[in-house]
Amino acid sequence: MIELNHVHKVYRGDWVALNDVSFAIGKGEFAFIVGPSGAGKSTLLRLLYIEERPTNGTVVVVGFDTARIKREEIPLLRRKLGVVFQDVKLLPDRNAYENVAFALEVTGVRRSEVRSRALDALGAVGMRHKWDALPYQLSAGEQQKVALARAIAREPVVLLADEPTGNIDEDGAREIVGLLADINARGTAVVMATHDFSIVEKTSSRVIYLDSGEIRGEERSVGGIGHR
Amino acid sequence: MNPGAGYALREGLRLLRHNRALSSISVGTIAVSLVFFGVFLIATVHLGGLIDWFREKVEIRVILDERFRADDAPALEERILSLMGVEQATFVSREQALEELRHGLGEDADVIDILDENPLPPSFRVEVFDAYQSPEHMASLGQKLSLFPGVVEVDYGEPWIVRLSRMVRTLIIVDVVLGIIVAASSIFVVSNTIRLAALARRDVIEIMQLVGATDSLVRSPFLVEGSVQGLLGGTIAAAVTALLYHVTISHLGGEPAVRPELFVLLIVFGTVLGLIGSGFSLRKIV
Repeated sequence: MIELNHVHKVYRGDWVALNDVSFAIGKGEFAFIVGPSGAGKSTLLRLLYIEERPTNGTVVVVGFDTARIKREEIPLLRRKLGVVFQDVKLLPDRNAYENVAFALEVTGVRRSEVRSRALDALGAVGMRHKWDALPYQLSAGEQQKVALARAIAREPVVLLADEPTGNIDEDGAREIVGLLADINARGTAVVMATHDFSIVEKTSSRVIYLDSGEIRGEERSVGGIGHR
Repeated sequence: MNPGAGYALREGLRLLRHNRALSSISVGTIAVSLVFFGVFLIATVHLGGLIDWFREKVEIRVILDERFRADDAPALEERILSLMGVEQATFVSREQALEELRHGLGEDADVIDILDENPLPPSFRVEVFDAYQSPEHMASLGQKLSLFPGVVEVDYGEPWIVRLSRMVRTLIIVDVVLGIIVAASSIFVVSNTIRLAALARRDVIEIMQLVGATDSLVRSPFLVEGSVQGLLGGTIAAAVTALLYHVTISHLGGEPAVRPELFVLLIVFGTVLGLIGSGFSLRKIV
């Protein structure tokens, strides 16, 4: 599903963001990438949805080799991924439903299907009842749920979450991680980057530790995400 | 309708509504530029028409010596006809010339009776084939005619034709230069408007790219916005130019020489400029 081989990412000639990173994530797996700010987590995720290309090494995501992928193929890859961020990136002038529907509309989903799929996705994150709320009318946690609904509306093979709990209180964060677990339970592989060690302390999922652009260790447990 | 086209149209019009103030500046600039362009095009068409009208009237007047005898006319006529480009040569005797003058004066013809003798010289009226009516050929024909025996003066209205031809040539150059300036300024204004619109909607562009929209779909609403700006500007320009033209014609009189296609051309030109302008601005953004 995801495979990184000896990946290096160097900015402006000498600033090393990732140094010889290799790992693989299988179908339906749940993995945390944990590390302090500046460890290279976001860079790593950006390589996965090809916002960036590696300086050296290979990145293969759902069958696309980032070294060989053509510019016009990138949208096809991204349609198989879902991405959420710390700053939810909802469109402020559209309500929750419209934000989710927009992602479907612009990726060629038939208009007759958009409505039911967008509402289903909102339902899956428990936000269907707030379908007509504008982002500013929602709490940070609720906004992140809508962003999650947008990410899963296309039923992605892999969900990438970059610090999705960064702006949210502890209860909200637990809820978001729970939703990610639900999504994972339905077969979507999930990669979540976080600097919050307390989140991973309570899970039994795979954890990859990243610091200064290098993998410092890994914990693997069996049985997907759960609470110890 | 293809879902992509529907989306482009819907979002393009939404953008246009959002950026009403900025879009109006764009539309206004295109409209004003195209009105100037349209006025010059119309002037060119009319002046060109005027030249054709003059050319139809082109004839060379070969003034002969007073003592020229009518008996010698057929021989001279033959020599004139042998010159390249000459269609017809008609001898006008002193008496005929006086008769024509009398006819031309109408009620005032009495003044002629005051004259003791006929002051008009005999002459030849020479008509030239259309293809030979260039100022250069007319000048060379005039020179050859002046060398014939008995010829005193050759009058072919040369300065007028030459001046008009030069004016039309200059106007065509002005049209081209103006067209380029209009195109460049319209593209510049549209591309800046669209660039601002695209920067203001960076969030939308980012989300679209993130969820896997194709580049062409990401660009499409902006292209629609630019084209619609050009279309509106062109339509306003066509309407204003047509109105100005109508008013001018009805004040000055005369036949309208401009075909309606010219106004359609302004609309098409505006739309194309809008499209190019927006395409230009998106190169670096999407």
